[in-house]
Amino acid sequence: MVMHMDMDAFFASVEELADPSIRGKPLVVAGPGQRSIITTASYPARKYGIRTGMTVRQAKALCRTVLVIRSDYRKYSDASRKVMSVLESFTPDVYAASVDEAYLDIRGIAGFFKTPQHLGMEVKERIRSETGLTCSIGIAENRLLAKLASGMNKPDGLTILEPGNVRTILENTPVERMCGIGPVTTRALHEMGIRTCGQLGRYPVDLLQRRFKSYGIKLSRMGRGEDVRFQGRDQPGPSQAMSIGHSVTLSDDITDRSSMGKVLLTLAEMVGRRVRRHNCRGKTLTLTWRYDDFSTRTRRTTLPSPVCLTDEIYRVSTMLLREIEIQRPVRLLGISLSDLSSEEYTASLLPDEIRREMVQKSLDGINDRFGEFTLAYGDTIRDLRTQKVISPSWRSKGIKNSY
Amino acid sequence: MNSDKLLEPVTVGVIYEPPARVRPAWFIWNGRRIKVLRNNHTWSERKGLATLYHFSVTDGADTFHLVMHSETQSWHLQGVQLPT
Repeated sequence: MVMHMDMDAFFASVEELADPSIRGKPLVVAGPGQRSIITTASYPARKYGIRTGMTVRQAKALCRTVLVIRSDYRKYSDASRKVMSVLESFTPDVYAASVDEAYLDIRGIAGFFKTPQHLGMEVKERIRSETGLTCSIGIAENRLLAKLASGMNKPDGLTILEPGNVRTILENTPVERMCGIGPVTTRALHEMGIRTCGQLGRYPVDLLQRRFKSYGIKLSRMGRGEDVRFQGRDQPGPSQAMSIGHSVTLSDDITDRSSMGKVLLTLAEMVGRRVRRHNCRGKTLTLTWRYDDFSTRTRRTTLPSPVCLTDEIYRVSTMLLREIEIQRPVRLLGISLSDLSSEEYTASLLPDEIRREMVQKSLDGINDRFGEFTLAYGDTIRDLRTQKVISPSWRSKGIKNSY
Repeated sequence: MNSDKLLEPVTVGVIYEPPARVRPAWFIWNGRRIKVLRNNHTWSERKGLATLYHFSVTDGADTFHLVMHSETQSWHLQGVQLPT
């Protein structure tokens, strides 16, 4: 049995805790500047049609009086750590899916509670008393259904999907409510006349395969409420394939490669620091860039040997940058390292490499002692060093799982 | 609270409570002694080896953002939020 816990309008709720005078008002949390994307809208703001992913300008067009709060990652990461710590006091089998949601394998602890309902209420009450925040909880036989259930009665809801009721509930559940079915797949399914999970589950698998290739089989199983991924304790550990990355929305769109290079150096340092902190190295580097029309591109390369030093990450990312043709002004850049390994480091015998590693170690030591970017490359961009935006996919453990 | 640019050293009267909690009781800002009526929210962040403890407090009218540095034991007023 799996529990899915999803915090209610997380960033907005944390801001309301810090400033009770804004409680109950339409407010959004966004990064600095008018170009920023909204990361959370409070429930009163949602009544105006304001949604995550909109720009501040779009939100203001829908509600002139909406309060725009600049996101403060320090508050959210602290609150997230407290929430995850409450969950871990119930069971060690907690998988933090993002900064504000987690899955718990409750097979081992369900027996200590009268019913799953009692367990859900207890978790909700502990989170409320220890953080002042509310969450919605779904309990079901697998991760897919638990996630579906937690979204059924938001905010502050508790929904339990009994195995006997799953079929009836899925019959009328719109396909887009299912985690993993995005807008593009939804459109394609609608074109095929499939609007509900019940219809999806009954649709001939070979026809789904013809349209969606191997994903068609997964879609069919999802339509029947079967989870093809994680079901509990089989979640991956930190040593398995994951990625560590950073991206930044720029204050102005840029077209010249030298400005992009400076951004990449800053990102390389941020990624490198995290990779080194986790004692791992990455073999695959992905460069992400988003144009001013919001179309996103990626280019990746797999290296002969894994990297973790800032200058190595920077060198590879600028090599990828040179290979691409910049078609439009760029509004976002990102670097991530994947194919991570925590293999024992083998010291190099090459004097140049030894020197670079010693310099990096000294830099890290100073920044560990006095804070990030206390000592940094001259070309790093000051504005980006103190990121005020937290990615919704941030986790308290700092590593992103591959799915 | 978004008045991050304000960063003024302030004198703070603190209550230490078991089991190792700290609570600002009053502080002096612009020559005025402000009594803390309620602690709205507390959060922390690491800065190197130091921890910065953030307190969102209110005197009943305005909301203040106080920060304590664990290593220097110094206090700063980081922001003031007037009622919206």
